[in-house]
Amino acid sequence: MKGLVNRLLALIPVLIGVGTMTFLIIHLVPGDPTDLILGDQASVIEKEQLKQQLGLDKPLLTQFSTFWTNTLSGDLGQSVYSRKPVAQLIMSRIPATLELTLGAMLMALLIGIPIGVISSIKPFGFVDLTSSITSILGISLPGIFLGPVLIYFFSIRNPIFPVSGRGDLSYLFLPALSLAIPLSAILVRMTRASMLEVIKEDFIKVARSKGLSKKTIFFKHALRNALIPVITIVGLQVGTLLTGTVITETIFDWPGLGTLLIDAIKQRDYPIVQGCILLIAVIYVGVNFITDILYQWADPKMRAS
Amino acid sequence: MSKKYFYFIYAGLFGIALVLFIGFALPLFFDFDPNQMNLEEQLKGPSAKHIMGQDENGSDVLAKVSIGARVSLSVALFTVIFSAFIGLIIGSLSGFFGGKVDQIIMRFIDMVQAFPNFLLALALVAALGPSIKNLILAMVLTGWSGFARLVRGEVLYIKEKEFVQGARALGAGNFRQITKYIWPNLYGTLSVQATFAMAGAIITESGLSFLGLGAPPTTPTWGALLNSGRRFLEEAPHLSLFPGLAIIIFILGFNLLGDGLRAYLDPKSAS
Repeated sequence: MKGLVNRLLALIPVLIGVGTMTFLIIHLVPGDPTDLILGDQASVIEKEQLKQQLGLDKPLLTQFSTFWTNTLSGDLGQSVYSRKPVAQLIMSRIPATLELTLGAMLMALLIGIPIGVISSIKPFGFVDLTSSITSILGISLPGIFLGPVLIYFFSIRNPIFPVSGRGDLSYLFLPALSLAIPLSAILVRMTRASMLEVIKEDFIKVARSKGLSKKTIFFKHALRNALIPVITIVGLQVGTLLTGTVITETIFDWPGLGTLLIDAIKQRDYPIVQGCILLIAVIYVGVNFITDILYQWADPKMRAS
Repeated sequence: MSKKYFYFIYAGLFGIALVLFIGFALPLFFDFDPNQMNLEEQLKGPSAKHIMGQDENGSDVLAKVSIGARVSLSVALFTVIFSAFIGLIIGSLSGFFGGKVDQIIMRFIDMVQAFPNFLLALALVAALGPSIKNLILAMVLTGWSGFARLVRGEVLYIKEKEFVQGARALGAGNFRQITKYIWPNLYGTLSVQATFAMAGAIITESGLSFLGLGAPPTTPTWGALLNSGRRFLEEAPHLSLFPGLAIIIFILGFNLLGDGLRAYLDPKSAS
């Protein structure tokens, strides 16, 4: 329990760092941001008005402290164009991104772990070699190509799934799959390596000498232990998934955080950009933290220490 | 399992060589201009004259994929070289001197790594504006931390070895201990990491270019080609197919090479 509190406290400097870096990236842009937002044609008065609206007329340190007091009270500023509060815009996009990320994670687990386990039954056998080669290929498939390929085969040539947008589950399938394929390839490799590692352990020999059936040893003793390091990988990959959604959402026109961020970057709507980056980074830190805790909880050896 | 890793190394080198061939050798044989329009042959599929087909302006796709290869390779190469160099210096300082220096550096690395890499690069390019220089800068600013962490761990371990302590006892200064005794033992690990980092850099570069945040929009990078190809997926899938295949072969090449090198340098880990 004391360890947990200490770890929670250790999160504070990381979060301060994340906030500060987000602020600096957006505010230390070379040149005048109002030039970029309004274009060259804008008058001096228009620029001054926008500067006041964004608070850019104040000294950097004042802006920095305003940024923190506002952020901590849940105020992420206003969109430069629609004038809507950024927090509200972000909240309206979270369900879509959450649906996509969870769908992709579920698919990846369902594909990756069984194949990893089957491969480890007979290392370097036919099944294992095939899945090893496929998974190296899977890791090397970038979403920017995988997305169009899936659309081509499953929406255009064979119109099974909708091309883009969000609706019922049939809309979710292709974007989630395109995120899940590289992730499941990583899971296959990790599960396999972890199983092979565990099978060499003494407690498996003991189980075998007790005369337990192969099936019991494999699923009850080996698999349960082998999945512990896999938890860490799954947690660490949530970050990759979250950033992967930026590309996948763009390809499939999925109305989530990723498309909000990209549209805001293109329109130079800095308050939205800042809010999205901050939120994704905070989620990433949070997920890594939870992963750490779960890992300790799952591994009795770690729990004891 | 014996020597299986050589197949990985050969296959990886073959993939990389294939892309280098498209990028550097093919322009010598084919006299093609990527901006040459031919409005009568819009979106035409592969032919003897245009082996990767033609795009919406009738321009040669092969010429564009060839330029894309050069952009991807040079961006990835510069990114990895600068990242590895910065990581080597900072990681060595952190691991070798320990104490306060180490703590400050590690907290800073934690902070950089608290951002997902792609997001940080995306934010930096968005702030700096799309250009190849800014793209490399953004990727180095995020990429060095992985190298630094790796080097620090290795240095912590190696500096306690007898041959380094022996050198210290004989009066070798810090600089000499690091450069002459520790660094030569790092190059293996570093080259494996650098190979995987090449694959990662290509994925990031093509992703950012796809979103219009990489090279300037006029440069035919693979990412940009895939993005514009999406509009013609139904009538001209070859616009997406060839740049996509090029990316896969390139990334796969570096991943295979990295796997092979790792197994070659550390046979224990491959079993």
